[in-house]
Amino acid sequence: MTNWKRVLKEWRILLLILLVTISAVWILPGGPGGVIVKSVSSDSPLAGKVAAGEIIEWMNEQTITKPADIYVFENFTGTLRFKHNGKLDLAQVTVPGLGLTLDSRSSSRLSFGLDLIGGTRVLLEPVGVNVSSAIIDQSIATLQTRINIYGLKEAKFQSVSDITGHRYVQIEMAGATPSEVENLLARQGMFEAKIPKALHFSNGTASLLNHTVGLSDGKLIVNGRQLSVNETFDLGGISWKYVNSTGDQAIVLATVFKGTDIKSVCLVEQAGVCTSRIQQVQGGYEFMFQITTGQEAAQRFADVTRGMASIVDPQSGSAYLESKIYFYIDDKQVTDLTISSDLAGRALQEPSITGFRTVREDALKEKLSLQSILQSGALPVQLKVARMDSISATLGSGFLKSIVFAGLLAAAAVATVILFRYRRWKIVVPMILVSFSEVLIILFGISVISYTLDLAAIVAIIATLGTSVDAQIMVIDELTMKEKIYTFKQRLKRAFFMIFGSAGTVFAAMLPLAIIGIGVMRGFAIVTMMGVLIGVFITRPAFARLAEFVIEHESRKEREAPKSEPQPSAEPAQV
Amino acid sequence: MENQIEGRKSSLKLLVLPAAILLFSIIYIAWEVTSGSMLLDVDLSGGTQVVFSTDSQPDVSSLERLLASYRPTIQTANSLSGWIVSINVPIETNTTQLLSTLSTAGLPVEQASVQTIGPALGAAFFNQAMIAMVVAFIFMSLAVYFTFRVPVPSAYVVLSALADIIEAFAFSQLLGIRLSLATFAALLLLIGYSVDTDILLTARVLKGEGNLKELIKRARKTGLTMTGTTCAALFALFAISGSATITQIASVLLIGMLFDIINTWITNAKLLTWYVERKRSTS
Repeated sequence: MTNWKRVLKEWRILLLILLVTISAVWILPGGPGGVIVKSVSSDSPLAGKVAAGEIIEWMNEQTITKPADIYVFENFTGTLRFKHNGKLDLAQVTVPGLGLTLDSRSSSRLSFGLDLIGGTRVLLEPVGVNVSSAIIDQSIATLQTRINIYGLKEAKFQSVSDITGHRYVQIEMAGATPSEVENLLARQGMFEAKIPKALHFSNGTASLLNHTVGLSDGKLIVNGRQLSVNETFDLGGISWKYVNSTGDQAIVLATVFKGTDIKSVCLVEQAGVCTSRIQQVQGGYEFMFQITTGQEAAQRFADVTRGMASIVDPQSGSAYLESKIYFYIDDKQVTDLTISSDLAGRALQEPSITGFRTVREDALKEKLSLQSILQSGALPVQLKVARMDSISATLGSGFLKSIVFAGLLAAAAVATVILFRYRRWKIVVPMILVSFSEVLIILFGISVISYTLDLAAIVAIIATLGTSVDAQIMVIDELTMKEKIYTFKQRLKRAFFMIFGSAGTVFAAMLPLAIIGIGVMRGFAIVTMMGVLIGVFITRPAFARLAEFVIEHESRKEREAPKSEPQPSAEPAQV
Repeated sequence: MENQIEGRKSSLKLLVLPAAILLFSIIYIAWEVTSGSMLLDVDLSGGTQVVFSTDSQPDVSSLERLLASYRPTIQTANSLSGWIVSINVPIETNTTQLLSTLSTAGLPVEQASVQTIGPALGAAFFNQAMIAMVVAFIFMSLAVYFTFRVPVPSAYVVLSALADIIEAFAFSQLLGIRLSLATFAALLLLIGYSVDTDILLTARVLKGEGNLKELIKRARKTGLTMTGTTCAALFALFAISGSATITQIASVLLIGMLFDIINTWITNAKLLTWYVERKRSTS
């Protein structure tokens, strides 16, 4: 009893217990139930009631814990009672099918790698010359823009480079097929920039680029042609669309630029040639880049904006035209920009695009996104697939199950060898407990540095456990050595000399991979190094103290019962 | 005096075996390099790998006959839910055709994983892994030297680790285990595992007092327990991991650990004994 109190007073052991508790709470799934709504189709009976991102906790007296609990209702018709985000709601289902995509709401912060959950990973290599990191970032922004426009699955982009400085773009799309990724790469949109213009009619006529147009019964009359809403017409070398009319005002939309009109977009600043920069200004960051347009396009811009009314932004005091310029890709509006009022009627062939964001990251993101839109979502450099991994989801989950099982089997095998050698449960049990706590803390570490648990990380964890068990054996053997001249303290010192020595070599061996490795190899090295650090500074010292208590306790018992058989354990330390 | 010379002679005889294994391994690797016959997996050579799982044990030779025109290399691994088959084919292979051939033969490839690696990238990975290996080895040597701060015993530790890696690589190639990023990782890990026992031996011998033979014997007991637990765990992983990657890693490490027993407890122990005896006789 007193012994246990002493154990719990030891700070190394307390630290281990504390970290294990934090790790367990952090990692282990559980807690709140419910599933997250990923999307609601427009024909869903729940459309308009449930939005993406909401949590459904309960449906027709059933507590929902996983997506499958809701998919049971796929063939249901009638009144559906459900609770979303704490609110009770009703929906009439007339045709079977809920039209929901759902995700389980695992509260675990540990995310699994693609090789365990399935999906597609692509490593793209720029064709030809080696490119700068700016071009890689631009390529990633372009691909991200495409994803945003076409609503493809969520993708994770990463710029990776190898030791020779060769740069690659890595895309990971969980649950995606290779064709979806190929589609993403092949896609290039049609860019258009449009400016709306308000026409004010008096006595049924108004002037548009020095041409007289009329309005009667909601019909726009251009060159004698009667146009309904959404019809298009050409006037003054510009194509227009009739948007709507109210009273004696009509709105028409002019297409000022097309993709081919944008001759170049300045991606990298070149002194005296073009501008592309982000600078700190009061309250945030301003980005600016130049584009070059054709003469005709510049003229169209001038014609449309000439004589347009300005408005003054009360906050900044800057004057803007009443109309914004809207950017479209494949007829989908992607963004809009205000037009500085001093640009009205001017045919600038090298206009600058500027913007402001409070955070530098956001400014950079917005700049890259605009640049890629202006290039019609064209990639700044041709990318070819250097590596494509398509991992099947069932195979992945099979891996995970098998590995967990194999890991347990390995632990049992190790425990058997230890038990065979020492024949004492009191030594085997702390070893197993400390080893499992090490796994837990490593998983916590992986999650904290926002790494994903993939095959490589699992191998790294197993490898660390191996060295951990080695260290534990060194500690036990030092402590139970027959040489009576050493105190426990001296023995532990010697054990830790060896433990630090071998941990140092593993660390040193993994360091180059952690720095220069590509993808999987790098993750493997980083997790191994982390495991070694956790081992030598947290779990192994705690184990050493625990082992010391156990062995000291045993040898004291031996002394108190001198008739019992002598055991090959150490005498207590006497300094 | 005579006794000592006798002892030396018999020790030298003992060293013949490890030296022969090391020499054979070096020659084998040199032959592989010069003849270009090193076995490389798709992630280093470039190519396509198709992986799928089946419930029944696959018949590798009939699969090889079926796919003969694709020039495949086929590996299998045991898993909880059946067997994992991985088929490697050259980069120019039409994967869709390959999958339909397999499907027609009644193999469950609807849920197959397909990986394609360009040869240039494979070569880049290979170079990178080589550099990582060399740098890792240099770093490891420095770490060992900083631990002991005596050059000769440190050199023995490094020599033992080097021999482990060379032998594990040569014999894994001999057994048909292809070099991949995973086996590279295993060889790097081997540095860590093999050095563990060498550090134990060196620390016990240099820091211990009394009979040298007794010191080595006790170190060996601890060391063999360490190797025993490692091998037991590796064997479990090797037997059932459901992943070709982990099977590869486990088998390379197992081979390495077996050679480590020889390199640590025969070579390193003998060399260290001579070193300490020399030291003791001069002081």
